[in-house]
Amino acid sequence: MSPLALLWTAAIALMSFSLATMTALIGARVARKQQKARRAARRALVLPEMIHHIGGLTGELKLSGMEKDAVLMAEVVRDLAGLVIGRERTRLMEALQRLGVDDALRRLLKRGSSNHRVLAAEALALFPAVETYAALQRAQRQDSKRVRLAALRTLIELERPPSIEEMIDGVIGGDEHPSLLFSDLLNRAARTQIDGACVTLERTDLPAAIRVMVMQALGASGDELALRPLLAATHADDAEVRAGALAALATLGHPDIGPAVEAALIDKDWRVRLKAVECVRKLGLTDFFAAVMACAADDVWWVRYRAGQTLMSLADDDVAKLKIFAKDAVKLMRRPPTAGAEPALQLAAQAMGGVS
Amino acid sequence: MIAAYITHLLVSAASIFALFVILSGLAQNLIHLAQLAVAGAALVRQPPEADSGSFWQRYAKAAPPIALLAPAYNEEPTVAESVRSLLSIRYPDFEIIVINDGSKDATLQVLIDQFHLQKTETRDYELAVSHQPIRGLYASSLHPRLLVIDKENGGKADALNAGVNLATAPIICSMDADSVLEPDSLLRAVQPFLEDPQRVIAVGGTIRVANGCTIADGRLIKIGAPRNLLALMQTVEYLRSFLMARLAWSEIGAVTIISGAFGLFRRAAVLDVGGYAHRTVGEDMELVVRLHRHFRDLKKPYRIAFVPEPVCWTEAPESLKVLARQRARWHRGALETFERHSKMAFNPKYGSVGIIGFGWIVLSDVIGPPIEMLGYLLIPVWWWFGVLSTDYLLAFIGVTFAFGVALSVGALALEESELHRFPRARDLMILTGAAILENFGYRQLNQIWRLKGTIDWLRGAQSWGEMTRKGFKAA
Repeated sequence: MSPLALLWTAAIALMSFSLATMTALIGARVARKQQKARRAARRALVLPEMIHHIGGLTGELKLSGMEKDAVLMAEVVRDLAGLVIGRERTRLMEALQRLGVDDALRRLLKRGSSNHRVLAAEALALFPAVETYAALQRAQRQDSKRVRLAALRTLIELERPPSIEEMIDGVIGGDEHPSLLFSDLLNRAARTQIDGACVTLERTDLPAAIRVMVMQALGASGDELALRPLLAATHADDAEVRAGALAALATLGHPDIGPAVEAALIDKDWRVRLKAVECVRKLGLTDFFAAVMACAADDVWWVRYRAGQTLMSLADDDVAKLKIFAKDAVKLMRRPPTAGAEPALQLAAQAMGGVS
Repeated sequence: MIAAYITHLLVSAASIFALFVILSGLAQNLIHLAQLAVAGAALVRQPPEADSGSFWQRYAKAAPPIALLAPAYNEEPTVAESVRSLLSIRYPDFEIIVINDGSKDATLQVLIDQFHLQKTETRDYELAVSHQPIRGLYASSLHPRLLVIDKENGGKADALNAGVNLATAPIICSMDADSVLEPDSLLRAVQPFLEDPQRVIAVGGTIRVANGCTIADGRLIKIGAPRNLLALMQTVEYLRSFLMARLAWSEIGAVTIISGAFGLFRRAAVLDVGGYAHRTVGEDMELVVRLHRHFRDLKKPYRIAFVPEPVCWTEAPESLKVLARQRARWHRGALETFERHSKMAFNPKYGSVGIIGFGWIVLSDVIGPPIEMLGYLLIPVWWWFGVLSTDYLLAFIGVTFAFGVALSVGALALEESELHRFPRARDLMILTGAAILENFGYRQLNQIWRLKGTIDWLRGAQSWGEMTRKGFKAA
């Protein structure tokens, strides 16, 4: 073929391919629209049938073969699962199991598209069974992180979470990311595994970010057992860990955290001082009013800002003094960060005059 | 003898130039093709989650607070609608900071009247990055999420810096006050921050053309293709730019621009690099490149991502005059950024950004427009003198246009196979027509505007030019 013919062939091939692609896409669009309408119609049939069954209005649940549509079933079951509890939930679960819906969902979890696998993992929360746990545990080894997280979420909902140790191993050496979504699930898993979380915190191979994540989970548990390891972490060398410990203690809200907060309010790292001030505000620790006032003259704006907010929230009993403080505190808070702390401290002392 | 020598010189020059044009065009087209493949693979690997109800259930609990920064300069016709749109966003914890950048029209008064704003003295802030003086802060007890900053005029970057100072959320979202965000766009855009909180410092979302859509009370009611031909061409162009180019560059860590109309940034990272740069019209691109440079220089791990699903709808110019100004300004902004950070170009120290990101800027922004324009001018001249073969000229033009159509269709295919934003098949047919038509005139005009941008940049022009808005079509 001559170069000229080659050029024209390429041009015609490209144009033909483009037009054929668009024609196919437009055709697919029309087909998808019809499929969507059919699914909506089937959903409109399935939902009332299930609701009648949940209410005990029908004998056996009959879905006319639609139970084989795993995606449809997953959508409907997931939506209903959040609304139905107790005896009605059990009745629905048993009826769907008799129709083999749980098997269909487990198959979808194994073979569907990633969005469908997520959907199946969520819907399986209605079917606590050994096969379901095994399927969800297998799903945790899949490539898609969305699927892994959905499977983990359902295992936690079904009160079959992996151990904290395993979860952390998944982040340190495995495929899991220390994401905020994972952190949320870790918090939920730690509620029933305080001992495991405390042991994990003692590991020496944890990076600071993961250590903070475990401490958050301990704090969120509200369990007294979390107090000791968190107090110990306030003495860590890494300021990120100390700040994380303070944040976790604020969430834990235990009354014995006073000395740790007091020490943190004068920590050399501003992130720790900030968390300490936030802790005072969150727990309403009025004993530290004077120390927080000193923080209102901190070098770092964020500490000053939070200290101002904390003082406002603490000083209900001395509104007049607070108003005097607030008037001049604005100057403190808007001070450029590069300026020295000394003039600000003097200004604070004048403004506070007599407040202690 | 002399005539033969001149003819020989002309033929040699024409051949060399033609080869240069062909190679440059070929390189651009091959890169576009690679972008299409990478973007397609990314969408297949991580398909968008369409169901916004379950999206909320899955992600809302972990979502961090966000401050939306919307600079407004002479936005009187559209500002109220835009703010209403922002107030209707579905996100667990956010605040809206509208920055009136010394507007000459009644932008501030419209905001005060529509949202019952009152001057406030109780909002504290740090002067962490510089900006023109603030004249006043306004808040409303009816809309506790809303804060309006009234400041002296200083340009968009200056206004954004004021917003960065006032924001207390760890993540800021820069946007245009005349744009409309889809209700779940923030929750979708924040995904990379949720998934990789240690490394992600910036995320860009998709911008789409709102002309042809129906918008009421700041909400997008109905999506449709624009009726105006110019807006229609821009719709295809935006699809190509966002779904194809940015997604592909995001996959290889070479995103050099996050549109100022919709981008999320970690506030601490923006402060680390000193905020938005003054004296540039490409402040959005400049900030992203500076972030790359800063984190690469310090060898700190980071990620700048692009997410295709969150959509921000914006009004595209429908007149050639306004569009010409906009495109020249965009191009000037890109060149200004290139000039400021030229040290990064092809420098292995800056990894994929230096090699691929900047390489692409050189090819498409620096040498692309003059080469293409010279090609359009010289090729007919040489053809007239008989230096070029008519057959080859026509065949080459045919291949170039066919490639252009194929790439636009590829972007439409990505949109249609994964995102399905256009509800009617008819809209797809219209857009296919636009993908073909844009090669005949629009693409060439674009190069002229970009060339104008190059000339403005060489002259050191600083103005933004007027941007006339019609306002959105009501329901």
